[in-house]
Amino acid sequence: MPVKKNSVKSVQWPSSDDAAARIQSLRVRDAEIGELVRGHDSVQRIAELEKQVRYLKALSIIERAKNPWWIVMQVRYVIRAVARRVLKR
Amino acid sequence: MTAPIVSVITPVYRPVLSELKKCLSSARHDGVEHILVIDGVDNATSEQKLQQLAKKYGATVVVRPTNGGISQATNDGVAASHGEFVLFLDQDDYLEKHWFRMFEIAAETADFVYSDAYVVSPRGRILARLLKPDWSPTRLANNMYACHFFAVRRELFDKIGGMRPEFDGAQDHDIALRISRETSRCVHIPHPLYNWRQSAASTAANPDNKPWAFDAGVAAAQEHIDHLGLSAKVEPIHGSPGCYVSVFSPRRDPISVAVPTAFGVGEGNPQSFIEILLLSLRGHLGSVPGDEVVVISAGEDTSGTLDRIQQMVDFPITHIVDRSPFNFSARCNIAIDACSNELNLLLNDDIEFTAATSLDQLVGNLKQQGVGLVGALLTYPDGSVQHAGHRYNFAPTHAYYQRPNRRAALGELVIDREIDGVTGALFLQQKSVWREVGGFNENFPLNYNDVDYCLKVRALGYRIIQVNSTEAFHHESQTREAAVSQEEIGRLFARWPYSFTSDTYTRN
Repeated sequence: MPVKKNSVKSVQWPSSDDAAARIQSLRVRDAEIGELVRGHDSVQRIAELEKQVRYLKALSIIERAKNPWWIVMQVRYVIRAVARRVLKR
Repeated sequence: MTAPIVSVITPVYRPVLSELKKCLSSARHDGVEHILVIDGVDNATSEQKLQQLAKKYGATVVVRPTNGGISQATNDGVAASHGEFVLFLDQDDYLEKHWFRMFEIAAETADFVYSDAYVVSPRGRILARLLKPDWSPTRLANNMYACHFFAVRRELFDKIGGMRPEFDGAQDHDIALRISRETSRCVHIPHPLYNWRQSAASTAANPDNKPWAFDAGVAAAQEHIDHLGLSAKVEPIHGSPGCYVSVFSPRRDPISVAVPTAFGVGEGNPQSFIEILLLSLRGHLGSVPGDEVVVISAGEDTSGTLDRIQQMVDFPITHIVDRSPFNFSARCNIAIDACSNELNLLLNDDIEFTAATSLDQLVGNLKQQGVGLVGALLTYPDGSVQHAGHRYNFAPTHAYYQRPNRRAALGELVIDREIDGVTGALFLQQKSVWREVGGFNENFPLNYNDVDYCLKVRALGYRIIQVNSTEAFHHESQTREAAVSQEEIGRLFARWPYSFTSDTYTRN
């Protein structure tokens, strides 16, 4: 037989001025983080790295494209993919 | 003559000469020293041929009279090298043409560098791309995702004592784990620079070819977990070779569960969602003194649901009534603020715990150094994936959404791993981190508050872990209609302009 437990503790919010002040301080902290993110040096750095990665990716395609056989293979893949789609219909 | 930037180490044992030629030619570059370690000579002709081949491609040869295994051979190769970095290349594999240029850029600020890889057929046809995550120490403990290729600063290699023969088969996993304890300057090159040949005898073709390798992997991962001081036993994951799970000991810390609810009822179900959830917590919550549940809603519990449940469960329930206008973020903040424990589990009321749910796994992962937030694998009752972590690529999405099974590249649906973010429907956190990031942003009253929250947590340098070793049901959006406000997503992009540009942890 289940043991009788305490009843649910019911609270109206805000339960106290302290609780409301704690939530208000969270809002302040959230705004600070927003500023921190906006002013962070790493934002600029990340943008630079993104550019670098894009450059390197382009570079790799260019280097591969120097090989005529690679181009033939790519064309073959495209033709095969298109053919598959057409056949599926 | 200036010292080479990188020494490529290739242990050689009964090689196929055509493959070795490809290997040698691919690594040839200014600033690169290639060391071939002949690991045991079984006939003079082959050694002579190898010497000739090495000479042709400008490689240095180290000869070991007897076969000593890959670790011994690699260590001998490194001992003979002069590069600032050592890079490991198998005899049947080869590097992409532009590998050195990318490596050079990445190595500037790194102690450990790894790249993506292609899996290629014996004839060199690309069969698959292995797209790896950015540096993920927790994931590394559960899966050697960083192999092929990886390079380590020579000084660090020597400091940690090189490869260990007792872990042969998983020697690369063992050394990567030891590196992860020494440095965080680990850089991922997000492009395939290595061709991993799928020969009949390699693990790329069939993981069963080297069963001992996985035993060695478990041993290496267990040693790492012990070294970190975590109380867990490493076990292999059935059906996912090379993937491991740390099974954590039962928790001792009490948990406060915070649940916002509207006392909604599912279609065709007499029970309300909150009732299903709280009853499903039995057996998971209440075993540790201090466990509690805080429920928050806009109105009173007129039907007496919570009072009824309270008689059936072993944990105290507190009900907060918040009559202010609906704002999900604000309600979550109020509920978490009312929690009396340091560990807070935030749950949507349409979550249901199952036998596959383990709070111990969540707590164990959260207690790792530098972890700010952990989430679980959420599924629909039919078993398909609802949430396996967020992806912040162009826009926030759920990784592997609606996938009917757990098959994913690199074990991404079975291992515990770093992730861009986790859903607010279920996550565990430390209250101190919640305070530090300023809780949920109330400018996101309905959607994307969890995305913003996760980005804040990561901006402060914490890691977020997707704990796939624990699962729960998510009866998603049955409690309210799923609607995305364009205004909210605009606000998200304005606040985080550079955070949705590329994949970080889920790239396959």
